[in-house]
Amino acid sequence: MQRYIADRILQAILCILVMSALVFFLVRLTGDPVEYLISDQATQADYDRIYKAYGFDRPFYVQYVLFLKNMVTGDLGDSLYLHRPVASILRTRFPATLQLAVAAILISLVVGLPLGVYAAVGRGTGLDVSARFLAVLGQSMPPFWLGLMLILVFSVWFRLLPSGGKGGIANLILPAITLSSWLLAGITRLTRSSMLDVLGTEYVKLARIKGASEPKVIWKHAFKNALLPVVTFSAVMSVILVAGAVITETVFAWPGLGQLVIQSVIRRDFPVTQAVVLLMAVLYIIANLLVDIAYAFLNPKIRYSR
Amino acid sequence: MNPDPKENRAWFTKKLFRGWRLAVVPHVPATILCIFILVALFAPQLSPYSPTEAHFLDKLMPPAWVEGGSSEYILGTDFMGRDVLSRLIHGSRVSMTVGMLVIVVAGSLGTVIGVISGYFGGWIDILLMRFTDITLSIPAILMAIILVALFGASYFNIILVIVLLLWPRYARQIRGDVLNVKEQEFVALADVAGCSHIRIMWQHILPNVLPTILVLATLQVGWVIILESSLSFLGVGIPPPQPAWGVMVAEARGLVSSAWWIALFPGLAILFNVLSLNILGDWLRDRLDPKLRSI
Amino acid sequence: MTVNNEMLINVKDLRTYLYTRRGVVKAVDGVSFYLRKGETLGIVGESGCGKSITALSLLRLVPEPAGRIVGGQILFKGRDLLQMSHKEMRRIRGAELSMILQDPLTSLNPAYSIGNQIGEAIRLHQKNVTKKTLVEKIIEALKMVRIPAAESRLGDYPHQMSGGMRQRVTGAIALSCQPSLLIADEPTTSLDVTIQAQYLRLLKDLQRETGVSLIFITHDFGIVAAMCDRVQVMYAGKIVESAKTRDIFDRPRHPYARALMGCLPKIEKRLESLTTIEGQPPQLIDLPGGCSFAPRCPEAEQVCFEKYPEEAKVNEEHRVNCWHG
Repeated sequence: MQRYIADRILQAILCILVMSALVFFLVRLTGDPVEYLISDQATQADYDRIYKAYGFDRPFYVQYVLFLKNMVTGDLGDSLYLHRPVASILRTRFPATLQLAVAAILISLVVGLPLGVYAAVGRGTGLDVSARFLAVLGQSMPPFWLGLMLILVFSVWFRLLPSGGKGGIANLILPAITLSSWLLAGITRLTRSSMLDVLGTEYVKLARIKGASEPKVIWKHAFKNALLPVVTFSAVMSVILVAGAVITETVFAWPGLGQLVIQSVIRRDFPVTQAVVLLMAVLYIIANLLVDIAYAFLNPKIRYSR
Repeated sequence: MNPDPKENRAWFTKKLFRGWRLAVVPHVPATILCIFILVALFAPQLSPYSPTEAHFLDKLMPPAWVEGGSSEYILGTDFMGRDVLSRLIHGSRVSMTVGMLVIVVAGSLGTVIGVISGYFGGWIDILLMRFTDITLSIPAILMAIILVALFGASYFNIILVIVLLLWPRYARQIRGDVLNVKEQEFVALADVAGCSHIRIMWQHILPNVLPTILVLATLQVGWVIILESSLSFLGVGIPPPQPAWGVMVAEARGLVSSAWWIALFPGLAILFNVLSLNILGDWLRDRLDPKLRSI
Repeated sequence: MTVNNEMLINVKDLRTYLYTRRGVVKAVDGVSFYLRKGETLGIVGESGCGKSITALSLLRLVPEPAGRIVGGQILFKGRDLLQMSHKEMRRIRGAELSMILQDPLTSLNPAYSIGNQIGEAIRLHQKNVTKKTLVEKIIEALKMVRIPAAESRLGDYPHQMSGGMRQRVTGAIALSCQPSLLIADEPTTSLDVTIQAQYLRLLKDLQRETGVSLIFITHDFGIVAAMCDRVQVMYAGKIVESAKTRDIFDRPRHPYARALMGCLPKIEKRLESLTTIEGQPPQLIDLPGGCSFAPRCPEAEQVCFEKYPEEAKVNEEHRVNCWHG
């Protein structure tokens, strides 16, 4: 298992490096990168200052090293729009996105896993059919539209919940539901199909032969094995969360990284865009790494290998 | 698996159309999809007005069946007085075009790379797969955002961006399939018989990965449509005043409390479109290869 | 093998049907047999003849909703299993009536250690076991199936063991609560040939040690010869011949039984004369009237296609369902 984990960590670091290199080169490709880092009202002196600070007069590899160094030490430049260090902006925004993401994950797991299990156990019943339909529906619904419709129904028509902004639990509900829609659908479908596979195995038959009660068969024997593919899916999960966060935060004016990145693109505030994209990518890679490690613990075949 | 390519095609068609009459085909989604395609094709003929035609005096009118609405504008008008129905109809063109183009280009590219990678193996395979892995490991929307931030938003750019994001998914899946097919004996036989690589790939391998391609295509169009509309909604996709559905919803954002119809209908259109595609794609996958268990 | 005359299980006219989209499959169609205490009964037949479903029916584990036991009686220790509640049935399963499955690769749960899986079987039926006693019992079970260094293997996972070992663990699980009846569903089919003999010997030893009665399901008459006191031959959901092993080897009455035995390679026979049975086993939907083996039977006559043969008594223990028997 140690080797598996070490391998995964190495891969993660490689991915981060590649991602940063990608961003780095893309920016250099599109013409004068300094243009992106200074505002329209900049003077020649500003231009020269940025030019020196990022080392554009130095060879490529030096630039890249400087770039990496800056990223790691937290010197991400200043926002052109807000005239504040980007790093501090990120620091205030990050917890908001984290809160939203955690809420969405919780909803998806708490609802999705049991739903998938019971849909599989009751194959062909009304519960199964409706669970499957809801799952397909959830994956076909554009999240931004869902968010708006939720606002329409719950904020405007019924005045039950606030329509945006950060605040208490009430503010969290609608955005969390919106963000979790895709995820919930995916987890339900996957859990269901995984459970169906496992319920047909010989070892589940053996559990019944032993005389185990049906709930025990379902949860102790079947579910634990069915969980493995779902854990792998969690990798995809992080992608959905990242993408969803951008959309959901925009719809609900949730002051997180997602909203920030879109605003920065529209405002042509490139230092912020670059920094947020890289941060989100790193977070995503780390999340995947954690999932891989969790998988290593859950799968005895990996846990007990060298 | 039969070595004769003609027999392969017969097997494939038979698998696809077996039991056609037994109502196992999901008729409703297929019909809905056909409607969308037809609407997209005949948009100019079908829409009552031009999508950009602004009737300022009639702006913000609700749908015909709501009080204050009129039968002139069945689904109401938006904040510039443009007929929602007409924009909806033309919007289907945008979605369909983007969807089809992206799938065709990304699918072809992905297939070619997948087949080459799987067939030749060795360092080509390792190189190509590492590349696809890395591309896959970056969340699509982030890449789209940064590419749009750098290159600007336009019809062409959007298609390009989504193609760049999509082809690795194809390549990966197809490569796996190719590896399976390669193990079959008839490929070795063809090789021994002296067929050139190209011939083997075209005649023998490709027909056998066709089911995968088809299923992926159908399932992915929905994803593409949602990605495109999401980007358009955020303002980094198809730029207004094009009547892309995502743009329509974005324009309705501020007015959602008073003019709900501008946001509702485009979203419903996307929903039904993608839903039909997903149901159809699932059915196709169950038919052709239940082992393809991707999301 | 000391056999007393006490009847352990008496199956009367068992019928298990599978309801599929294409029709009703009469997987088990009027099967009757009995087993005395200490005996080993073999159920022989080709794949698809209904032997496994018969075994599952005894345990009432027929896959629902497609499958259902629609008739008959299963008298186990005097009580009809088919009349019992689910809760009572669960108490019997694993404790008094147990089963070994065919494929050792898939019959153990990959997510739990073998110690855990054996322990669960014990804990399910012996409620007040202390941890220490439990561990002792698990080790005892492992030792019973001759697994070396049992104490150190409690934490092993199935994937860390060979096929033969795994099948022994399945045996340990099945015997851990000292059942009276053990059903073995082709337990050696998936094992290497060299391991097969070992395993069969183990089963025989275990029977001697614990006095458990065995129902052995197989398609191999060679195993029947080695293991079973009596044997039933099954075809298309029905029992076509039943006899003491010696009797049936001496003089098999039913053409199908004869053909099955003819498939056994004997030292004297040359390779070319290995007989095969023409044709395929029938689809169990829409069986024609008459004897189900008639289409493939070299001795079939008109009456065989028209009426299902009544049971003919050859001697006290030997019955056959054939117009020529």
